Amino acid sequence: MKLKLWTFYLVLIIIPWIYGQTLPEKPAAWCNDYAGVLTPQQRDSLNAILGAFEQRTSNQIFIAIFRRLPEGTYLEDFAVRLFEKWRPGLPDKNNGILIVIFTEDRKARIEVGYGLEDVITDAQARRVLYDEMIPYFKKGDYYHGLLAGLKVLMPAAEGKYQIPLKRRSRSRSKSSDPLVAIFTVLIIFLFLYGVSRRGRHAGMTLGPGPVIVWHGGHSRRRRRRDDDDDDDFWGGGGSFGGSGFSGGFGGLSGGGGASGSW
Amino acid sequence: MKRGCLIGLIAGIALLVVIGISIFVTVKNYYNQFVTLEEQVNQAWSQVENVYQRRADLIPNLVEVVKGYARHERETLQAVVEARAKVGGQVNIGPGVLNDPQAFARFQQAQDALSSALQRLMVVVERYPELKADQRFADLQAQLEGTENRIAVERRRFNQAVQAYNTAIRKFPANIIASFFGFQPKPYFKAQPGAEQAPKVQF
Repeated sequence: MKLKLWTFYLVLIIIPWIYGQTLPEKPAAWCNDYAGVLTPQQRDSLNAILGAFEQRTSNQIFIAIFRRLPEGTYLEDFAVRLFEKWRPGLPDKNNGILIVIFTEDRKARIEVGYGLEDVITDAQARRVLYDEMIPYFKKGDYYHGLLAGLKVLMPAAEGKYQIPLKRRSRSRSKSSDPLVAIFTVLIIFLFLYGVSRRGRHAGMTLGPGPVIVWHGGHSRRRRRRDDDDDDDFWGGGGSFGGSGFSGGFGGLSGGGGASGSW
Repeated sequence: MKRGCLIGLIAGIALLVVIGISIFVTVKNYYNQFVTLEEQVNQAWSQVENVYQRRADLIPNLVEVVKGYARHERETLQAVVEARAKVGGQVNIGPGVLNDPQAFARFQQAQDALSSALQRLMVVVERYPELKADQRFADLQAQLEGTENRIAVERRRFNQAVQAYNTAIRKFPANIIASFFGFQPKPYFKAQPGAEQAPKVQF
């Protein structure tokens, strides 16, 4: 009896834990290969394509490749929850797309944000999946399958939203990097100095809000160029950038899109 | 003696004013929180109605296409048409239904009946390869699948919104303020037997 109760508690604790574990944190890149089926060059090239596309049109497309679906969930449920967590797209436009692939389950889904549902209908998403992507997936060529799919999805999304992301801290990060780095360090030191000297008052006058915002854009720019050594220097930048991917809150989907298997 | 009395009176009035203001602020905060949460429930509800409407709109086309190939499935088609007709009067009934648990149950019942009629139809059509090869049908099927998926999503979000609202109005001391202003708990969607969230078994 006692044992039963114990296992009951254990299950109670473990199930939500497992469930929580199944969704990865919001990433710092567009293409996320948790299954290890893309080469680093392929991943970088997809990131470059999607990064430039977002920059130009504001439409944000995320890719997530896994091996298997976690227990106790199914493809559509997983995709919409991951969408809820990663929030691709702008919050007021909901112009995000999430492509999820499960290599060992041989399943994939294109999850379309609310804002793009009319330009990428379920039937169109299904055609993209079955006609463009799955023929490649069958051969295990995920890279070319994704490229073929993006070739259709990107113009469709662009047909509705073309908002260049100029004001999103982009102009700032154009300035020379070492100078910016020194400037940041200086501000942080000043801030810390102020706090230690004036106690709590400094915290109110020197809220480092703009620094954080700018930082988000910066760390992401670096990721895309793939200079890992510099990323270490930024350390905390990654955690700022995590939510600052597209300025915090993003778009939502309502279960639009299509699923496919092969 | 008189001065003491005056001071006491002023202190009493000041105390009453302070108490009054703090009660007002508390009530105001709770009330506004309830309004916000209720508005979120209503918004989630309108999304639920949208996706159900979307499904209802798909059905005439679907029935038309299936009829062309599967004439022998008259009963199954008839069941879909009838369930659709029953739902027809029920969609877009507004958030008022959320304060009437019986009407809400009727709404869910009618929608779930349509779901199962559609499911039977989709099983039956498996027997007609020419129908499945028709591009119009493939598109309609994709739309129907997408709509069923949207329904599941919006129902889940609706339940989440209702949960937040119900929890807020039932907690102490919020429940006193809620009942004073007539905020009622709202009904949830119950899981559809069989249709919803049954994890597909994979081998």
